[in-house]
Order: sequence, then structure tokens, then C-alpha cells
Amino acid sequence: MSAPEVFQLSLGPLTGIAFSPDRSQVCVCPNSNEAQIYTRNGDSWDLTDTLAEHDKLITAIAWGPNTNRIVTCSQDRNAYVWTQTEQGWKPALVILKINRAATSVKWSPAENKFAVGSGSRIIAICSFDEENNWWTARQIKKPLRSTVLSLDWHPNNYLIAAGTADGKVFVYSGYIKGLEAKPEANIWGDKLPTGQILAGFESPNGGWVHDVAFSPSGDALAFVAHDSSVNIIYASGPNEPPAAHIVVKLPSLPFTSLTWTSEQSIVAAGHDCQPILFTGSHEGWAISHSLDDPSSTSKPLTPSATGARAGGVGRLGNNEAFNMFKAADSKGQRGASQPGATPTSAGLTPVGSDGLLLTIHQNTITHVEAYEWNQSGEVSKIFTAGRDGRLVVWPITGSKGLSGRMAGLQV
Amino acid sequence: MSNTLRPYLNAVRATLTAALTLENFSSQVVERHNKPEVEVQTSPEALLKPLIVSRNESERVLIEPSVNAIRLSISIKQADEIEKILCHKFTRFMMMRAEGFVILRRKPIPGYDISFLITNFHSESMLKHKLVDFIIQFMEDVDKEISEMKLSLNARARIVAESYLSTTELSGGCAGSKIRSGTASLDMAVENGWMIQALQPDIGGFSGGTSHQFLPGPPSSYRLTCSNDKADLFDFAFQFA
Amino acid sequence: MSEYAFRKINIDALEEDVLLPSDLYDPDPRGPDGALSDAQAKSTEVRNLISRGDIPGALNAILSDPPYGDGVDEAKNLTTNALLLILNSTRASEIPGILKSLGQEQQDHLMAYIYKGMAAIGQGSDVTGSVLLNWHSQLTEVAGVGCIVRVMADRRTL
Repeated sequence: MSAPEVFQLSLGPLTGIAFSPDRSQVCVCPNSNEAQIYTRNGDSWDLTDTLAEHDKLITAIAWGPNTNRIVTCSQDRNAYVWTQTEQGWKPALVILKINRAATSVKWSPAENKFAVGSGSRIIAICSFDEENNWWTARQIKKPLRSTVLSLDWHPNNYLIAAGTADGKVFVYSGYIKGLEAKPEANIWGDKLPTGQILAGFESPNGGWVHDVAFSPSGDALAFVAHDSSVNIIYASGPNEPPAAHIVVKLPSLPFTSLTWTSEQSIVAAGHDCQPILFTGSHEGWAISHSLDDPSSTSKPLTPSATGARAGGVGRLGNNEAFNMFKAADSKGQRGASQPGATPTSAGLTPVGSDGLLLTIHQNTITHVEAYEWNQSGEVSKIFTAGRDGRLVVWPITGSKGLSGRMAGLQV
Repeated sequence: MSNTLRPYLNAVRATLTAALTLENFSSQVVERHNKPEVEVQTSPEALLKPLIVSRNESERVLIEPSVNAIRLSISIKQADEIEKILCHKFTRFMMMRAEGFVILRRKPIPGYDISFLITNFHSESMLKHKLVDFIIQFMEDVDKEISEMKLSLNARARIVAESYLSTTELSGGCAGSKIRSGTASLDMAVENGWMIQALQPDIGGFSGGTSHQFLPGPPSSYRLTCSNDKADLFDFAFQFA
Repeated sequence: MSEYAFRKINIDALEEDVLLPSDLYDPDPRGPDGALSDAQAKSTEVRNLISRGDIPGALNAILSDPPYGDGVDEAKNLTTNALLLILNSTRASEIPGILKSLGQEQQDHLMAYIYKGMAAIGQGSDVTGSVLLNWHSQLTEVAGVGCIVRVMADRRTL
């Protein structure tokens, strides 16, 4: 089982991140108004390009895998589409007509259009206008009443799910007339004019919806909200209540991002600084294990209600004696101070004796996405980026849960 | 009552950890603005429910969370007038230097003594668990500081009173003391035309007579001896004029 | 001057599509009267259960479907008082067991009431800070920080 690969790309947060289709390049925004492209060089990344066109913080980046175009959106109410030429990456302005910051952007699966969510309570679906040689937008306004925090496209290229700051999730039709063929009816809705709202959901305890994602088949929708819950909705038919609305409430801090790794598993990460794997089906979902620190391989590390790791477990556990002498030398502390001696009562961050968190990420994880797929189409590796400036690539371990491991045992 | 200190600080720590889940959130109301929502209070959906953690009526912490900032207000225990003054001076000292503190607010929320404002920019550049540790440490230290200041204030007051009311140069004062049988003597350096007179001349006796006039000139020392051969106490009063 | 009067207009008050705090949640389906009668019934039930010594039952009763939102203040007061009575009457050694027997939603409601109790200390309530802090620390052990986050995020004020 390979260990996660950790790259420190910046000292501050990575506000936007997107990989190139072959994963040899990554475009990140290091909490500034510029996007930087790094190229993989062995075990590290070299800065090769800088995309400087925005005035204010870039909030999201998306890289279309087939057409190799990058779209960036920022708090200066603009978005740019970058295409690669011999002279480097060239920007093309997108006429969004929003008057507040843009918060998220996603290419549609066919990459003929992309959606931008903004603080002006509008989703702008942008497509390329051949006549005038620019990108124009169709706006979805109703019934959004607050900032759009997250977006995701349905695999059929027509539907869009949006999570807003007033705790609601909406499923819209993002069909653009003149750009594509008319959509067929599907499980979410049958009549799909542009901007038609097909469904609305919310988490039972409220809370801002940080991320939404359709399952690989499109029949289920998952979202994470600020009430420390993961909600999964299974659609049953157009205009009908969902077949199942499963809520997994957690004893840990809320998640900020999630991705489906297969039809039965989701990886979510957030303020707890570790990616957690969930498995389930329309009958129910539950936590499987945390992807961080599987050093105690026989016992997958589950975030228990206390959140504190059993003292000493982790990379620093074996160096307890070393740490004791180190503390005596640098801080004048006599006696062993166990990891977490800084009072960690229940549910609090597990801190090592050097003051750093025991997880690989030192600050909130803001982005989780699939990195690599295996032959059966399931995700075998995911990457996470966080506010500590780290980019970590994780292999999905034990994705079948304990039953999978038991099945692997042979007598 | 002090056995609630640990649970109180742990409760504040847990609530603070829960509230420090901040993210960058551009203003919905004004374009190109990015302000702490808990201060602007224009969007009800961006604010969360304020929570109070309290140990008793006088010690409480108000935590007002929002999407991109939290405001934490502490009410410090002030048992008497002196502690009130000390607390006020102490918090004023810190709030005037709020820029150096980074997370301190220049004015406390009404009803509380000191307030902090932690924004998402702070939580991005500083480790969150360290911020929580700092606040908890601060709450512990403030109480200690104020007790120490009160002790040192009382000690200073005592020293000042002692030195004021004890020997050396007295002007126009009256020192009364009860003297048991025996002799007591009072050595003093007197200057400039003082006259000393016993107010109860029939009791005891003065070695220098019942009154003594000092001549103007350089300070001269004078010894006043009184004796009492009666068994009970009496008051000796000296008057300097 | 009348030509400058337009500068004093509060433009935000005139905007129609403004999001009010009451829009952020669904109101109590029972309505104010239904909620009040419910709260009264539960209050008496709780007093009976406490006198019989059945603390888990009392907690269960009071924490299922508590009244929330606007216009149900009396119901809320009744429920809060009944709950504080339960908290006061429980022995410290029994608390962990009782907490584990509560459902997740009930734990969230209990945490909300603990905070409400702490806010009311000193304003005539008869429960002490130490009792509430003890319950708070035990509940955080069992339910985690996520419980506190849910109390903050829930718009339905208990």
C-alpha cells in the first residue's frame, strides 16, 4: 500500500486547484490574484507559467480534460477561459454579467459549456459564441436567494446541482438552446427548459452547503453542509419526492468538500483535516474509515466521538522518548508530555507534542477530487488541497471496508 | 467553586473549536468587498446562532460565529471596586494596542469586558488549534494578572501607610499611643521652632518638663521619655505646633 | 433640502426580495397553540417521571419535538424549565449512561438547551453553572464537537 504523496506548493492556502488531464501539470492559486501552473518534475513541482489577469482573489479553477482549456473565476466578478498556444496561455474574457464575486466554476462533462456560481445569487452558464468570438452567459436566478457556494454537473451534460449559503441544494436544467440537442427526460425531471428548477433539498439542521456532487451514474446526489453532515439523495422520478434522503450526522467538524469514488463510496474532507471514506447504498450510508495515517493498519483509524487519537498512535508515537528529551531541551519541560497533553477534551484536534497536528494536513482541507481511476472505473487515488498550502495524493485503501478485507483472507 | 474552572475552559475550548470553521466569503451586499460578516450583520444566512458559556453570573464568554469571522467576548470576574478598576485599566491597556494583538477588537461588545475578532484570514495564516490555545491561556492569565495586581496594590498601600504614619518628620500631627507601665521614649529630629507639650501633664512625667520649646535653627534631636507607674493604660498624646 | 432627501432613504429596507431570518427554516408545524398544549402536557409528564425517578424517560419525553421558532415563547419557557429541572435532579454518576441512550437528534436538542441554560444563569434560573458545565463536558465526550456545530447551524431556535 503506497503512502500518500505530500507536496507543499505554497505557504498560504490554495484557493483553487485543477490538474491537467495527464496529471503532469497542476494549476493552483496560492491565495492571490494569479494562477500558477506547475509541471511535475520527479518528486517535486516546478513553476512553469503564471496566469495573471484577475484583479482579486481567484476562487476556483477548472481544467477541461478533453479540450485542455482552463477556466478561472475570481472575486473581481470576472471569469477567464485560458487556451494554450505556443506563446503560453492566452485568456479570453467571459461576459458573466454578475455584480458580485464568483465563487465556483465547473466545466460540463462535454466541455462545451461551464457554470459559474456567484455571490449575486445567480448561476451563469457560459458557452462560446462563435459569431462574436467570446463567451456569453445565460443566467439562472430563481429561486436562488443567497450566495451560490458550490456547483456540479450531471453526467448527462444537462443538469446542474447548486449548493447555496442559505442551506439549500437545487437541481436545475442547464440546457442551452442552440448549443446542443434537446435533452431527454431522466430521473430528475422530464421537461428541461433552461433554468428550470427540478428539485430542492436541504439538510435537516441547516447550514451552508459547502459542496455538492452527482454520483457517477447521476442517479444520486450527495452534499455536505455546515451541520457536520453528509446527505445523500436518491432520486425516484420527475416531480416525485426522492426515493431516499439519507443523512449521516457526524461527531466531528463539518466537511467542506466531497467526491464520489464509486457508486457506493464517497470521500469527504474538511475542517478535521483528514479525508474520510463513506460507503453505502440507498439503504443507508456509514463511515468506513479515515484515509489519514493508516499506520496502525490492522485498526483503520476512525474519527471517534472524542476525535482524539489514542495517545501515541501516529507517526510521532514511536518517538515518544525522543520528544521527551527534545521538550526538556527546548522548553525546559521535565517528564514525558504525551501527545495531546495540551488539554484535548473530547472532539478536539489531536495535537502532537511538537504542536503540529497529527494529520498530514495542518489546516482545513478545501478541495477533494479524483486523481486516478483503476480499470473498473472506480477511483483509486484522490488528491486533496488545503489551507496549509499542501497538495496530497492519497491512495484509496480498503475501499471495500472490512468485508472486502475479510474476503481477501484465505484459509 | 474553583473546581469549575477546568470544565469551564474545556467548554469554551470545545465551542471555540466548533466555531472556528471559517472560510473566505465575499460580501453579498457590496461588490468587491470582503468584510467580517459578524461585524456587518447584513446577511442573516451568513450568521450562526450566538452561544454563551458561563460559569456563574459574573464570568461568561459570548461566541458569535459567522461564515468568515467569529467574535468572542469575555466578561471577567470583578468581585469588588478595586478589581473593577484594575480590570478596566488592564483591558484598556490591551485594547489601545489592539493592532499588535491582531485578533483583539478595539472596543468590547456592550456587557462584556474584552472582545476578540478572528477572521478567516487569521485562521489561514495561524494554526487554529494554537488560536484556541491562546484564547484559553489568555482567559486563565487574565484572572491571575488581576489577582496579582490587586495583591501588589494592597502591599504598596500598606507600605505607604506604614511609612506615612510612622516616625521621622511629622508636621502638625498627633500621635497617640497606649503605653503600659515602663518607659517609652520617642526620638525625633525636630526643626524650626516646634513646641512640644504633653496634653495630660499630670500623668507620667516628661524628662524635659511638660513642654519644651525648640529654638529655631538646625534640627536638634530631642528625647522625650515618659514613665508610668500606674498599672493601667493611658493615652499619651503629643502635639506639635 | 428636499432635493437631497433621497440620500436619506434606506434603500435596503425597500428591497422586496430580502432574505429574512424567518425564511431560513420551516416554522413549527403544530402552530403556537399546538406547541403550547404539547409543552404543557410534556411538562406535567416530566414532573411525574422525575418523581418516579425515571430520568431517561423524562429526558426522552422532553427532547422529542421541542417547540421552536417565533411566537411560541411560553411553550419554550415551559420546556426549558422542565429540562433544567431534569438536569438538576440527575445524579452525576448516571449522566454518561443516560446520554448514551439518547438519539442523535435528542443529543443536539439537549446541547442547545444546555447553552440556553448557561445564557440564563443569573437571571433567576435555579440551576448552577457547575451542573451545566458538567453536562456539557459529558455530552461533548459522547456526541463530539459536531453536536455543538449543529447547535450553531440550526436556525430553529429552541
